Amino acid sequence: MKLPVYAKVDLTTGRWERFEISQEYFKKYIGGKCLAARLLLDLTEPGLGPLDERAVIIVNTGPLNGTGAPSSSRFNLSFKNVLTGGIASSNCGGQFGVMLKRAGFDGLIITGRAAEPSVLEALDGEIRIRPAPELWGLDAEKTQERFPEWYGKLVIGPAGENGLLYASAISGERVAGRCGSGAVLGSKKLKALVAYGSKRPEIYDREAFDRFILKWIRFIKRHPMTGQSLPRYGSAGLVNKANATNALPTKNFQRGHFDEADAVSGETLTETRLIRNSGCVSCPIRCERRVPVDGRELKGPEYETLGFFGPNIEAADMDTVLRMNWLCDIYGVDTISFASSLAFAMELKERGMADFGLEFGRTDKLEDILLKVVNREGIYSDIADGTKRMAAKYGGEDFAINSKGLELASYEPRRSVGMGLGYAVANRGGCHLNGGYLALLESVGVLSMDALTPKGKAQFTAFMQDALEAVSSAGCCLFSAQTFVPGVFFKLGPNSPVTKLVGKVMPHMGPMVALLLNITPAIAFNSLLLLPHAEALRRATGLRMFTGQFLDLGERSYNLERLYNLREGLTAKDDSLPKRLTRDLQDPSDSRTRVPLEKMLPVYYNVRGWDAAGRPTRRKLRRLGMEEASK
Amino acid sequence: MSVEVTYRGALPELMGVSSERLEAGTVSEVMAHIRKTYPRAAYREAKRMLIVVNGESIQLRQGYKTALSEGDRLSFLPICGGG
Amino acid sequence: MAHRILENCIGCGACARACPVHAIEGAAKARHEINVRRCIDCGVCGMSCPVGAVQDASGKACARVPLKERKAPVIDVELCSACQICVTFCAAKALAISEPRFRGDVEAHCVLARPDKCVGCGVCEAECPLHAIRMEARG
Repeated sequence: MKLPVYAKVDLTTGRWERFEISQEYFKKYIGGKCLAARLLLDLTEPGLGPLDERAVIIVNTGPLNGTGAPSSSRFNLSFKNVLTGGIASSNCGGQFGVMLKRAGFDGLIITGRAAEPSVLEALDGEIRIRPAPELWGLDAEKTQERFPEWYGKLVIGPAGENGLLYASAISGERVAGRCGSGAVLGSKKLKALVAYGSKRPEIYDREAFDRFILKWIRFIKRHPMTGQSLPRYGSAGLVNKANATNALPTKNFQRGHFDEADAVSGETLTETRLIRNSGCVSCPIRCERRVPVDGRELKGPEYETLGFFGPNIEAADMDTVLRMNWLCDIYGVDTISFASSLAFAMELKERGMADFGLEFGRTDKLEDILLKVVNREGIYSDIADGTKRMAAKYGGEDFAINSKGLELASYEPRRSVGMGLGYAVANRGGCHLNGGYLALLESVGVLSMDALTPKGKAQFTAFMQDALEAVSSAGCCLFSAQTFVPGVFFKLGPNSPVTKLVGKVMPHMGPMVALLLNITPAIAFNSLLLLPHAEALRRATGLRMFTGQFLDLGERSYNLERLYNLREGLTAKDDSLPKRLTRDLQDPSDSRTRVPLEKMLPVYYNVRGWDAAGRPTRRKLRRLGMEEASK
Repeated sequence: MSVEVTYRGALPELMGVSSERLEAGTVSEVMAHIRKTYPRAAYREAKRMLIVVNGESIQLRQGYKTALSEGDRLSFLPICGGG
Repeated sequence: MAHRILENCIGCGACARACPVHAIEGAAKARHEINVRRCIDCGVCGMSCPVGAVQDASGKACARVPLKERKAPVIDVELCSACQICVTFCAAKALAISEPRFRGDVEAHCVLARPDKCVGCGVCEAECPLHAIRMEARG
């Protein structure tokens, strides 16, 4: 069995050493965010600030990265969350991960702080730290142009240098957006990481692996979601869908519906702007939009960006969204946290609590304000700190739309209450993906599990979280898991009696899902339909990996991250949402249009095998074979 | 009732039109019109799409029985995914 | 194991330009060197060298092969999923993803867009996870 090899790099001393992952760790934690969470627990002392010199950032891959498995260019960054103080993991589809592996490293463990702006080069099995003051101040695009085109690159923009709490890291045109990875790299004076080599990833059983990949890719291509809808409309296709179910955050989450939303929808994007669709390396889904911006063909916006630079600031100007999306990317700013902070600033203005010159519905000054925020000019420095810190200063906690400090994604949880639970408990803060993404089952997918009932939501959330964690840890894109809603429902459509019936039954399936999560060791089969990743992992690594073990991997990952959060001082109290979402009704005539967190949380803790204070029990940790991780 | 219907996704190509004004009292009547007027493939496709009345899915109303009022806007949208 | 450049190298840079993994470096008119950690023994340097200064891994001198006599990729477009792996690893930039025929066209596959640029290294064939690429003699 080939064990992952990491490089442990200390930027303060400029020294590095090879760091081999033990067989035990590889078997239990596989790679990606799961293994990274374990390493963060091991290698960092409790209570260290996220921007401290001794803070650690892990950039790593999973076993499937760069193997030819579909959508397998996603690499992971794990670090202490700059916005929440808990764990952060951020996933990116750029070429850096693929090339890092080819350079002979499965991951990098980076600590220390360089004396001057530096570049980390991982080339052909060697690491070199090289000062590069000339790159400081350049945007992400210009920085990457300074390196050979064939290198895998991961860089920060001016936002990371200036310590915007939600600064992102960029690889090619793909972004590790959330949680402030750019700020961490910036604090380490690490402007860029580059990797290149020609070492192909080793596969345990190449022939069997390739045979399975062929089957899997055909399955993806034939599935209506990954073969048709995502390539045609990208994630942007969700705008109209969310709007139709009142789940599209509008005017800083005051409402869930915006009459003009169609102007920034995926359909409009496809019909009027799309030049072509494209994708990350190795991805047959190809959800990326290529659109014209300033006369150039550039990356188009995702759903979140459309929602936040559109309806959530009460605007619907497609060209503004396209341009802001690009500018945020090259400056290295997370579009979700930034645009959500803008909406919060707009509401502060509306209520006369603060004036940043921002008003709902106005998009003319956005570019100018982005620059001021990136440069932390005057009061705009407050916007660079995100909604939680803005609320601490100006008030408005009840409508500062974040959980634990991380801004929520573009799904109105009052019309998707399971998503609300997910936002509240997600380890990295208000994230839809880390939160189990129940919105897909409740309000924006083809299925419509009753979006307003708390019933069954805790169990489905735990299941989905485990599945998504495992997919990430394996090194694949979460979109490759979108095939798990059987294609037949797309053929029937959302208004068919069958689809409706399934939606009705789902809330009652909670106990069954809970049972499934409890008998995982016994699930010794792999299903192309459910989670093909387990089978691919088995053939790539030679590990005993079936659906059950795969879900266990996800559960381990989720519990490790929870342990990290608890160690860093977060508690059950932090599993919360702003009062706008838990107290105020979205539709005053319907008492169910709020997130009944108080009903769902106890069930969730119970399903997870956690105590009433949200701490993983001894028994649960023993079951997962990681009792020692809580010490 | 005179309502305005917009066809998105694959429908315009299958039907040859992207919008029209219709007389219809319920969504079912619009579906019947599509079945009668356009090729079978268009009807099949329309049936599996997201149907939205004045921006709200008919799933949140009474499904195909949803009543239409004068001037309502009806759209057929493709089912999308992502995140 | 790796290819090697001998003393009679004239430093023309033909091998370095053709190398699919960018493993060859050297100043103009000076003897070039192959990075043994990176060399994948594809033999393209040997085929490109005008003076026969390249030795293969077994120590045998490589013979020059003109471009049109080298193999080139043939793509099974039915099998291809347009995943771009081959396009990414094609250092010669001979491969590309097909252009959409209309706005919103999602049918795409890999094409040998610039056959004149293909050096015949076979990296695309080796990388393709679906085995949709075969290296064949140019017709």
